[in-house]
Amino acid sequence: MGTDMNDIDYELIERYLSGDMSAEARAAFETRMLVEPALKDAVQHYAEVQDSLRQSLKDDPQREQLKQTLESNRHVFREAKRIPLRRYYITAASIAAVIAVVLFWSPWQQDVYQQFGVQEMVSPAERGNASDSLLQSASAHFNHHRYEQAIDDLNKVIEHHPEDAFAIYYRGLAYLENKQSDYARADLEMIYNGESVFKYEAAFYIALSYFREDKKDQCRNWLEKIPAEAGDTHERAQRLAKEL
Amino acid sequence: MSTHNVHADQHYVHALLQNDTQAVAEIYRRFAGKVKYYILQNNGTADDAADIFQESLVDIYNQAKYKGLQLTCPFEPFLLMVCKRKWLNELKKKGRQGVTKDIDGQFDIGEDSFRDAEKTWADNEKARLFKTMLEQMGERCKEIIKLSLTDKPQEEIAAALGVTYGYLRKKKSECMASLVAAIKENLSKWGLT
Repeated sequence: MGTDMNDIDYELIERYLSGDMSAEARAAFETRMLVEPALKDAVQHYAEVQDSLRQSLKDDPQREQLKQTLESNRHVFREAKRIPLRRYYITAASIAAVIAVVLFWSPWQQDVYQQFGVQEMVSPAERGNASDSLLQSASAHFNHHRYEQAIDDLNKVIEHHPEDAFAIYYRGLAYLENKQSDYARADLEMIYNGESVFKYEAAFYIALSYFREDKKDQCRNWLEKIPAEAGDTHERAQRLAKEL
Repeated sequence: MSTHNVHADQHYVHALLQNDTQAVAEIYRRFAGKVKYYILQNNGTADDAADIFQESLVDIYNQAKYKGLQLTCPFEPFLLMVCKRKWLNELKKKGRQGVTKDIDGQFDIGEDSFRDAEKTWADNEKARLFKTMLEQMGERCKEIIKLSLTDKPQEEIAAALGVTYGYLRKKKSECMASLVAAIKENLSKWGLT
């Protein structure tokens, strides 16, 4: 006896699955399922849909809480252009900003470029992977003004992580200090065009690179890109603008 | 999935089940980058990536809570696999160009893990399809199915709807029949078989 899809008695399936059947009827129905694969399939599908809906229609407060936690981490996707910044980069950037501010206020700074120039590359916290040891090494070179070696190290990091905003930013600064302004601006513009935490710092250093070349218009253009919300960087931009 | 094969990374699954905020933040910190990179490489935006990542984690939560999922491979390739499967299907649904660029070697996980990841995606996608099709039904059918799938006794539901138990059962089975038919029609459109 064959069973066509259209002949399936869904009410019988409903009664079978809800246990609303006499023992005899049940046994008969199970015998039918053995010889009618289409009926067996229909029962399985009916049960699958029912079970799945029963679960997904039910409130799951724990799942709702998890969704909130997930939502609160969503910003990770917006932080860097492609590979999101890891937290220690952000910490490093804030430390760098503090150091820059402290050095900026220092009375012993005379020359304007020196006053605004790059001071330190903060080395990332140790994580023990290859990129991190390269970054450690890069920061050691950078902080001893060995910019070419720093660039070599950063090139290796960027080769493996082409979107690593931290590495690209500091390579830009190393080029800047190494008087390779075009290269510097290429890296820094990439950072400026992305969504990294170094965005406005990058704009500032592009401005500074033009300042050094006495290209005042370009310098001013870049300084104007730094909004008040950029905080310290904005303040420094204002001061550099006054020097123009 | 026998217990002795459970991978140490199962703690990430627990973190989702327990809503362990620190561990969840670690999941984002460690694994979001690759997913974002993959989706940006394949016609998506950062927002798409954030959605896919979030939904995949909820899928893993559901699979662990309701289907007893246990990891037999590291969490990262498993998560990437679910994300990738989901994104492929999104592209297909939207009729956009398929995925061309893969993440090198990220998906070399064992056959069992591959099957578990595929099932995690498929079970959850089916659940979404079932729910979507239910929502597209007429008001009466929707009401009847939703009510009869709660834990309340069927007699009580019949009384609440002002019908007899026999009528409710008959009506519910009719509604379920058309729901099942609508689902069957849409299975392949949703990338399911």
